[in-house]
Amino acid sequence: MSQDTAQPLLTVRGLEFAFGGRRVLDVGQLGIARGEAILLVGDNGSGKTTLLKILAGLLVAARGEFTCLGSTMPPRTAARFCRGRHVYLHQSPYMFDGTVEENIAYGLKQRGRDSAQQRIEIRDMLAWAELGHLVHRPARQLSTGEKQRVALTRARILAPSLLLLDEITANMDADSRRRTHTMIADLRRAGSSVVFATHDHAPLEALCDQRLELAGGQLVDAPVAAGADVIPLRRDGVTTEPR
Amino acid sequence: MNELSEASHQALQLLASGDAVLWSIIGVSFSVSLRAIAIATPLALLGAFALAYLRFPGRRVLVTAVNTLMAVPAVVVGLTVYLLLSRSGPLGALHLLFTQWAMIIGQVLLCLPLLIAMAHAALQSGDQRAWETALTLGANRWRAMRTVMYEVRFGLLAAVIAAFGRIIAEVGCSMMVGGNILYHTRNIPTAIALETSKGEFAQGIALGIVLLAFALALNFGLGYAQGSGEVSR
Repeated sequence: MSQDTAQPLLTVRGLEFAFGGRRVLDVGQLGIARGEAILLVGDNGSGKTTLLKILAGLLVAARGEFTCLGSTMPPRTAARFCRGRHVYLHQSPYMFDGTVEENIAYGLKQRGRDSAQQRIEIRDMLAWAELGHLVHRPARQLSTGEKQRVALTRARILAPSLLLLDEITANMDADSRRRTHTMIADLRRAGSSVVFATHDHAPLEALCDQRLELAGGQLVDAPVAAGADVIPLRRDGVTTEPR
Repeated sequence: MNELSEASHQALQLLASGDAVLWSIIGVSFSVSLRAIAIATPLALLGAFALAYLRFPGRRVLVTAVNTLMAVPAVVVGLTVYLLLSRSGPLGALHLLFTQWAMIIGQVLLCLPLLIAMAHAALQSGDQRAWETALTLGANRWRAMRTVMYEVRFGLLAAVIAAFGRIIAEVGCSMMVGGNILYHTRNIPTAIALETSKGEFAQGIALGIVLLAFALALNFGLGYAQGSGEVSR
């Protein structure tokens, strides 16, 4: 295992976030290993979405020390670092006004890929997601399950190191949920770490290595750091080497 | 009634004959107002975006101020610009009074609050997820802002058209700071006011027809851009 892959993807210490003068998140420490899948459970309002958005760089923590790929940085720098590398998916995905193809191409355009390269990558991804027949459809006219698959495809094409999924299967029928779970398993095989936030965790337990619970903005039974390193715990409580 | 139909007939003849005075007035009007809207639009869009998406102290006060400024009459804006640009005013050394640039400054000030308020409302009605999705997919803040604006483009376009409608038809500010000088600062509204005061209705009606036709074309354009006008299903 190379030095690079041995490093945890992300560790966070002393994370705090306040909104409207009220502290809504207070996480002592959290570590995410490469390729790891974490189930983040908690009731509505427990801070799951806020935590995911901070890890995606969409919100900036008031306090906290972030170590991303071995480099320690303050919250604002970490937010800039995480945006684009860590992809966040909403419970109800936002589709830009345009076709499925245009939606999937959005992130590639931001990375300056030329249109010929974009077409090749999009064709491959659509085949992977079994969405080839929808390529020219207006994305906003799709069903919830189809939109979520487009959103996952839009994320996967960017090869994110961390995928943050916010209750994405909550409104899906059984078939869409099964397809989505298969896609997520593929994403993990491709090397992405995944954090699922959910309050209905039973269907996702089997997909995850670790289960964390948030209550009132705090992690319940958070993993304990061994020395300076934050080593994630498996569900059975055995410490794991970061992948 | 006879007088009106005769004046209307003369107005159409004036328009068709390519009357130099008439077309210079139309030219001044569109040249000044298009430059004013071109200057005001980017400023207003940035301001509206900041009001909708940034959290900073005094944001609520600014929103209220912008909404209040929408109600300021054109003559008050004209008076303010006049005092600023007059020889004894703080900007008197620029010698802009009674030039097209004085009219442009007045019209920019006149349409900015309307443009910001309507653009702010359009952005507020948009979806926060558009901004977050753009950022998480790797767009920088500038590109994410452009994406969000594209998503609410019809509301923003309506704001620009409403603001243009306000300045192309305003008379008070242009009359005060432009001086209504033929071939230089006489635009459609000041010309209509002048000709009507002289009892010459033909040119006024001709210019009114141009304004109406333009308003109609703009609204058809907006309607076409918006599609069928139905809610999305």
